[in-house]
Amino acid sequence: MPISGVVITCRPEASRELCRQLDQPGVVEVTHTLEDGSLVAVIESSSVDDEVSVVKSIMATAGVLDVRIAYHNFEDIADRA
Amino acid sequence: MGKDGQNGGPGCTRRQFLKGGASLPLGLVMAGGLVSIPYLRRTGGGEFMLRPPGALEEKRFLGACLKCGKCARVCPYGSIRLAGPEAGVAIGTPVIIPRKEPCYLCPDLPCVTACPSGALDRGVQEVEKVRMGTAVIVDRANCLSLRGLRCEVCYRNCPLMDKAITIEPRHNERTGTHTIMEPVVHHDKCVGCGICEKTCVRERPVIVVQKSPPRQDDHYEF
Amino acid sequence: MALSRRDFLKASAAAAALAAATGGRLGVDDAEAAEGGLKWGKAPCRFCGTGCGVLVGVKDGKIVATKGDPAAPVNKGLNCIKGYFLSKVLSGKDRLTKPLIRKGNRMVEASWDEAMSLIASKFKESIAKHGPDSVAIFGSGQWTVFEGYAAAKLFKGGIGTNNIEPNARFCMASAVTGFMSTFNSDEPMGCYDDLDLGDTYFLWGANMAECHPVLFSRLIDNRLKNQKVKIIDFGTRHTRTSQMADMYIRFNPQTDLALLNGIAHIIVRDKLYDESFIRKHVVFKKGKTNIGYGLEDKFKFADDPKPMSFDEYREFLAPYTPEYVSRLSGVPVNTIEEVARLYADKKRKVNSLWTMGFNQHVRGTWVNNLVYNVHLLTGKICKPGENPMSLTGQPSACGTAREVGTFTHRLPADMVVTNEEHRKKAAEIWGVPVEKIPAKPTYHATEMFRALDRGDIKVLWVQVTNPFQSAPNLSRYRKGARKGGGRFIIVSDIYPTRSTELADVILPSASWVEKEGFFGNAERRGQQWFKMVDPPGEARNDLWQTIELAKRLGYGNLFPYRYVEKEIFEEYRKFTVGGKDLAPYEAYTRARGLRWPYVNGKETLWRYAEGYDPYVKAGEGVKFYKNKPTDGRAVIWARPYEPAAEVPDKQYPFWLCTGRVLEQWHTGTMTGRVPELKRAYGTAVCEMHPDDAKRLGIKQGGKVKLTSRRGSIVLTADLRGRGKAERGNVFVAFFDENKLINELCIDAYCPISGEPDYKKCAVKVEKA
Repeated sequence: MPISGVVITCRPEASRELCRQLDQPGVVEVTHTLEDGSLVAVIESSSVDDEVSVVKSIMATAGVLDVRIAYHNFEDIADRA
Repeated sequence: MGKDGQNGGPGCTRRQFLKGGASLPLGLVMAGGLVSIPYLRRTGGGEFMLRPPGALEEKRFLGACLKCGKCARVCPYGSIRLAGPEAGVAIGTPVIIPRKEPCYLCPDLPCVTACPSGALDRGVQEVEKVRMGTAVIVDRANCLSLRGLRCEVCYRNCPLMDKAITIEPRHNERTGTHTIMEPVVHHDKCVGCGICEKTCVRERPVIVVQKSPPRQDDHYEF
Repeated sequence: MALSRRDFLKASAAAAALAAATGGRLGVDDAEAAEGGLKWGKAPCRFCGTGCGVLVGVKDGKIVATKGDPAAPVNKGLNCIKGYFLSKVLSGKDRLTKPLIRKGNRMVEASWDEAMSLIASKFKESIAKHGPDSVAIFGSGQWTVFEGYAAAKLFKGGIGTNNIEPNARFCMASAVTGFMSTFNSDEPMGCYDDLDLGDTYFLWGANMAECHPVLFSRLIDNRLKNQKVKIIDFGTRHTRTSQMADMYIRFNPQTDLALLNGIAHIIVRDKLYDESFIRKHVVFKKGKTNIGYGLEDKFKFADDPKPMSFDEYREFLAPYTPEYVSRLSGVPVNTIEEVARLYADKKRKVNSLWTMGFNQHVRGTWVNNLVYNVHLLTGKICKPGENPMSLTGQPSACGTAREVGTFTHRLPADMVVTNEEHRKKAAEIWGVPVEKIPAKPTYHATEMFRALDRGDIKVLWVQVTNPFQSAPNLSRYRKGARKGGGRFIIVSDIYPTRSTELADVILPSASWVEKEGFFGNAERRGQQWFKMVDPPGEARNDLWQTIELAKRLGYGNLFPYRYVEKEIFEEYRKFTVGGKDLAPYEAYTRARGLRWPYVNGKETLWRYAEGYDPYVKAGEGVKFYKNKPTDGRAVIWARPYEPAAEVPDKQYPFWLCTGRVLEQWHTGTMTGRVPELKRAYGTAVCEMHPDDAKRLGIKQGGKVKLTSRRGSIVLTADLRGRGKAERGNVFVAFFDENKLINELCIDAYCPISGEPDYKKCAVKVEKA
């Protein structure tokens, strides 16, 4: 169950709208919006392949300029809460 | 395009890394691993001794070498030294210690010409044919290029640059926006001159010349 | 409620991404977390214009370590091999630690008071006898902003002479005049993010692989991620950059002018241009032609711009057919056609990057104009991932030399001495009468050394640079410096150099983190650092030295500061408000650099672009608002091909090109003190083509003698090195203080920028 932290660079004017558009609980969670309009988001997925397709779909969203992965964890994790 | 004549393309390097780049999955852990091999000692222990260009296989070389020192005398760089008593039976034989002075591969190989005994084989006339040993990155963890720094000093100093050492670029996962320019030694082209070992900027060289691995023939043509 | 492991991982992911996005925004105090008594502080690298961030580890008042700063957005913890050895560059055994005064052929230790008294008396004497234009200061793009500002203020506002120049005149003046003539504002619209965001990169006379190593690593990474990315290297020498490019296009020296006009010819011929962009944002102009080479002393040139129509521009381009350009440049016709189509491809984000091949050029301003022409014709400019960009070679060539304006004709922030309004503004901020600032520029760098040789300049102070190794036609200027006749030379440096050996007084300077500083890199990023260690012995900051001279000349009132660095910066910042807006000093102490204009707490990534540049109004899209005379439009210039100043002939049949290598920086005064770098590349060699070598009986590793009309030198031949010289060309790096290759270089320069052409002169090559 990979989890990654990404920085989404987008056109500043599109940032607010993208924040709404991209946020899908359990898949993509936008955690921060930065001064320059960049978004910080956490992606959860079932497999690395799945994650690739999520990132690709973010990249393909209008207004998104670049998606950079800053953190990636794919250890096999079990919820112990 | 542009691959014809003077505007020649960059060759296989580009193709190889494009292929690598395309298949990189997200979150790929840094390839290569961090294997550390203790610094090889070549003198004293009767281990590998780097001989001048054209030297016969070690046993035959020891049999043929007259220990006359002529090769050392003609070497314009003072790279060829004569082994001391710590070398045991090999005392007085010519040896190159790259970290002190490597072989600069004179185009006319004066050491080979000077050798009266044939211990340095006259048949070796081109520097590309020389096989003194093979360079190996023995300490990957301490190689600056492998950590993403722009060093590659060994590559740029290699007299057979782009043949014996090439740069294989790959994505730097840690920064996300830079390239790791990995120097890769090609054993079929490396002559073992030791210039890479000499110029390595680390206190202990992370790339050193070792005994060339023996050929193992099969029928694949790649 | 316990935090689940998954929540924890998610929080870590968000924190890591946030840190990457914001560059950590760590203050120095945070970074100083003690680590076994080791304190870390931030600073930009001391070397090139890339502006990599580094962390400096200090223990017991000594620098014990440096490392790339992971929070620095430019390099994210990486460095090149020079940056890796930063901790060693300040601690060479022969650091200068005491002022030295010449007594005959000996340099004798003196106190600061003696040295400064002597210097002040020489300045006073010379000014009294020969006027203020008989004294001069020659600084550099390695001056901190404070040092450059103080020198400009003292010389222009105090002494009342425009005799101030930086070595940046030798390295990027053509980029400045290119920006000024096309956009009426210096410095690029784009930033390094363009290296990540574009897909087509044309490199012109730029060996990025060796000279901007960390940026090159970023560019190559873009290609690793995106198969569409193409890197096309235009050059006259096959370099490590060419090796990694998708296409290496060799052209005959000087014909870049023809190639760019040829590319524009095809774009116009086939209507590949962006008509609406041209209509809205562009005007056409032509200037003088056949403009000379500045070879004679006191050469003067003033361009005479005339407007022209698109049709007239089309006519101007008519002769530059692919066939004509091909004959001139040696580039095949189909390659020229293909390149023009790549430039114009609407599906491609196109960038041009250049360095000294363009700037050190007798038509440097023109060739800068011509590359903008192509971007302006196609509208590929002022967009993320799509820009022309000049890369700089010194850490503060932009921040100090260009922005502070330490050139003879300049005042801070794009202002010039020839403009009365500008002089008024400067005089007001400086608190001096406006008449004090002379309205006429005096000498640019080459002319300054000519004036010293002639005796028109008597007293010259050199700070933070090594002109008696780096000037072209070096023999003349080295001899000129020691002609006597009242000439007096002061050199401030940290090591003995080829310039200190000609000095009458040598002042030991503090360097880098031995003082508080501020550099501006090539992407408009200003970076501040604090003093972290004391300089060795009695060495002192150049800023202190300049202000000390000011006091002794009676201009101490111009420098009434307590916290000198910060107050100077805030004073200088007044010049930038409403244009190149710099951020408050405090902001830089916290950030890993900020890109100007900095307005309302935000830096600017792309200038002139709506949504990024605060000065572009909604609906304008792109606005070249700094160009008021043309109503906010950029200029496409008709600039023809004209030959080099000196072309190979029967007697001198080879082109000589000079440049840099990765391991050594400029004149090697710092990198030359690092044994590891010396071992990696310690001696300058002569790169030549194996066929030429064979014909002349020269072997790999053999000796070769190069002779130009100005000097000769013996070097080791290298036929298999990192750079592959083309037939009829040789290349020599200029870092080696024992091999003064610049003695061979011609001191011809671009008449508009005054920048000399170190890339082209004619030499004879013989076996030695």
